[in-house]
Amino acid sequence: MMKRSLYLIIVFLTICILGTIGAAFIYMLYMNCSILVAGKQLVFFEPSFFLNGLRLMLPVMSVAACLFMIFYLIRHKTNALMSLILFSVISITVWLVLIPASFSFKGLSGKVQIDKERPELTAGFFRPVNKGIYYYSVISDDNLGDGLYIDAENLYGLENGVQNVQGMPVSLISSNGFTDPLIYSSVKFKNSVPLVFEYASSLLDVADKANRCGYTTWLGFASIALSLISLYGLKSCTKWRLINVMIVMGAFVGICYVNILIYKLPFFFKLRLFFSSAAVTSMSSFVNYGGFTGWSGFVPLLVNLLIVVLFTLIGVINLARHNDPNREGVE
Amino acid sequence: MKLALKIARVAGLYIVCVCVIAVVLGYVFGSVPETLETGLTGYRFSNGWKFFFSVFPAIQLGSMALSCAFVFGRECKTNLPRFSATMLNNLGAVLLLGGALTCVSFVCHEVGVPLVSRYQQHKVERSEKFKEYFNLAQKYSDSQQYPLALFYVDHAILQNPKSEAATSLRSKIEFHTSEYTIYSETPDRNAVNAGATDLTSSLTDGYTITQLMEKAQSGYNSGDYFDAHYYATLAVMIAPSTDGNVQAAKLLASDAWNKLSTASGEFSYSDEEDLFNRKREGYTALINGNWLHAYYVFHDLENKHFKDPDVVRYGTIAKEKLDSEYFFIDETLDLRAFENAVNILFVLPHPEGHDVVSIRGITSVENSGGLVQYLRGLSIYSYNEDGTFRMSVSVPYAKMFAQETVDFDSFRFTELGDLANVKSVPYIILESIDRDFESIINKPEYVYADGELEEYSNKYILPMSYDDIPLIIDASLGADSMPLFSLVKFIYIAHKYGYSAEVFGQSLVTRICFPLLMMILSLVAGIIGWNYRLAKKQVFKFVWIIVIPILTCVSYILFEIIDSFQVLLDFALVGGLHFATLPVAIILYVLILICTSIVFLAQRGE
Repeated sequence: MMKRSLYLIIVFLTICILGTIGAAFIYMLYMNCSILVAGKQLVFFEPSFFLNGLRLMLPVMSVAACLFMIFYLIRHKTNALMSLILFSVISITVWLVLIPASFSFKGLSGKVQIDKERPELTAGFFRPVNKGIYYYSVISDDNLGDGLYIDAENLYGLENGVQNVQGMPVSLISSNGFTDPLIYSSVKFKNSVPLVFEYASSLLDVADKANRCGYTTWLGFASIALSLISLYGLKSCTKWRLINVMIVMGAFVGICYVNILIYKLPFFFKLRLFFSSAAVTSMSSFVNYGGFTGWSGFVPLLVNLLIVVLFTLIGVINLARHNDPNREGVE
Repeated sequence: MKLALKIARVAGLYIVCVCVIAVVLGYVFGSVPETLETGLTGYRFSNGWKFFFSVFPAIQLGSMALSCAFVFGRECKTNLPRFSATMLNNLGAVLLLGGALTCVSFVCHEVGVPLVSRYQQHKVERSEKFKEYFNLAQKYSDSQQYPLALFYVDHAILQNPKSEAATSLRSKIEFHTSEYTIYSETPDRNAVNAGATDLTSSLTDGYTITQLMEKAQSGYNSGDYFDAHYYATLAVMIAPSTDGNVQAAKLLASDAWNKLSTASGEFSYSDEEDLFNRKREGYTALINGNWLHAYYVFHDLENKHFKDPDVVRYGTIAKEKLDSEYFFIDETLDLRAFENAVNILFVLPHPEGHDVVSIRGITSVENSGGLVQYLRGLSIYSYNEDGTFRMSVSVPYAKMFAQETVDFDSFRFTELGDLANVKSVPYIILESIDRDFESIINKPEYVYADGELEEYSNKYILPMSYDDIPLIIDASLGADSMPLFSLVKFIYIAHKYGYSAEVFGQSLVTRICFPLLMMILSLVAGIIGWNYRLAKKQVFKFVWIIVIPILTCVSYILFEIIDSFQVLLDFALVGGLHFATLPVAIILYVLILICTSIVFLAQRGE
């Protein structure tokens, strides 16, 4: 059991390293597609995008690896104390060392100048944009296109739904960060995926801002780590491990969501303003710093401590009930 | 097999539960178009089924994970080494069930969702058409144009037979008019004409010069100078100049014409003379190639002299000739509700540059002459080689059918470009006419770059294979929605018609590899099920049923993330490997499937 606890380190490293490389690769493909135009050759490997992907994905995958460590603990019989200590140390290292380090890594890959590399659109393709379709028969050197606009849903009452367009700036039809809307329509993420990414990126945004406001503020934000460590308490809520996995997953999403809300809800804004009043001189400077100044970090710490208390309590109750399916020696 | 059945039983229960939840959710929260007034319940149910079909892959994965966790826990030994016989048995069961559910997923994805979408689209279109026809009926009824009102109210009732408002409007219109019978006779007249067209074909085709001469002479001898002139003229037209009959045919045609020209004084009644003069007017127009005028003259005569053989014969010949140049406006009156595709767009390269064709809606109709397509809102924009605008032609409705290229001369081939291997091309008639009134005609609108009308034509030949038209129609649905068989053929010609081969190629690879991906994910679900299985002696608690919706939501999000990544990967593969992508992708997915199977077998029981 002791040995198995040590496997936690391997589980973490494997998921973190492989996951970061895999996610960075996907990020690179996505970015390559975002600057691709129909009719041109796709660049498969672009080092600058890959490095940027590594930097962006390391925090995400390291947190995901922490979550997977709990799944590992749900699955395997381990030494409880040893596992808790290892899990806590790794989680704290992630939040206090790895993530701040990956944010400061910006210098290397931040040089990527995507706009300069964006190629011009090609003529001769039908491109869906919102509820219409553009077709350029020719695109001039100064990026003005001649061709047609097809009103696919008859929004403008055009005769036969077609309008001749002359000298239109082609950059107007680029969408969602993609140079070519045709490529975007093909590789865009499905229904729930943009929501998940938006959710993850808003948490990353908050983390980035907190990191830029100094280590003290960062510590306030990183108190989320305490909540995530306390997920350990939920790993044996029921006697069916599959349900325990679901509970931990749900709680993980909940913790992230609450921590985003701390920086979004007006109530928390006022609370943070109250705590930061000792450190900042005016409301405007508080807002200019994005609400991350001074003692405002005390608010997330407070909220996360509440979560820790709650989950620890659940963990203690579970322990008292001998609820752990691994411990009961069914196998 | 036994184990597979046990897992299938639990998975089946899970699927039924989620099906009920999904249909109820779709029913309650699914959006219903504002324009839809009837059949709301059916539409709401279809929302539920569409939701169920679209999330079925996630349901499959969730059900596999849960059922494996339940059954493996109950049925399998606990202390197992890696690569044990039990795990081999488990793998077989997971592959069997995974394969079966993957088939269902594939059918839901490729058939279920498109079928329900089409049903919903049809419902909305019917509702919109009903409103349009009903409003027109009301408008004409208010302005006391009862035959027209009756026409539209009947069509409105066809779209929605249960509408009480339409039925009562019809009764009101019926009360006001008894003339509607004139309108209801119209289809019969069409049927007569359709029958006569076949007769005409046999009159004009297949005769030798000698036979034509015999028919001409026989007509002349019996005093039927129209026939005599007609057959003699035909003989002159088809005979080579060296043929000995040419001179005789010319003489006979000339004599017959003289007889026709001087025949006016031979009639005892003015009616007979009027009829003869009108027949001659129509016949002259026919011989001079003015099919339009000939048609209206004989059409007018048909109403009064429908038993006159000359009127019937030359009326039908004029109609047949007319069919290659014009079509009737009333053919397109109620076609919109039956359109099989909308927003069809394609590019056509030709020696002088390229054309862009836009069709708002297309309706395919099978008739005695084969398949014809009615094109609503047709616009053709022509560009020079440097991409500058040359001309455009647009028309509210056009009629298209296949024209065989064997009839083309070398000039036409040069004009249209490389059509060496093309059997037939789309031939489009741009002008539509009224069945009864010569003055009503819909003409195409030509716009030239310099503002002047350089060339006018009432027909247009598209320089492409007619066989590609159905593929382009399917492609208008989008790469992810078009039928898979059409997609396989279309990727080779997509670039030619203004579509990105990469976009369609990616869709093809993703759709063909979808079953392999589902098999891989089913195995992963099996691994999860094994690792987080229920304890052997643990009693199942009813409260645990709450895991079903949560597990389905988690599966749904994870599946969509993996599916989106798969699309990206496939796109990158297509970008690098082009047409070789499909076999490479299949090999790649099979390798991953094998690796996942090995990982499954390597699971231990502690």
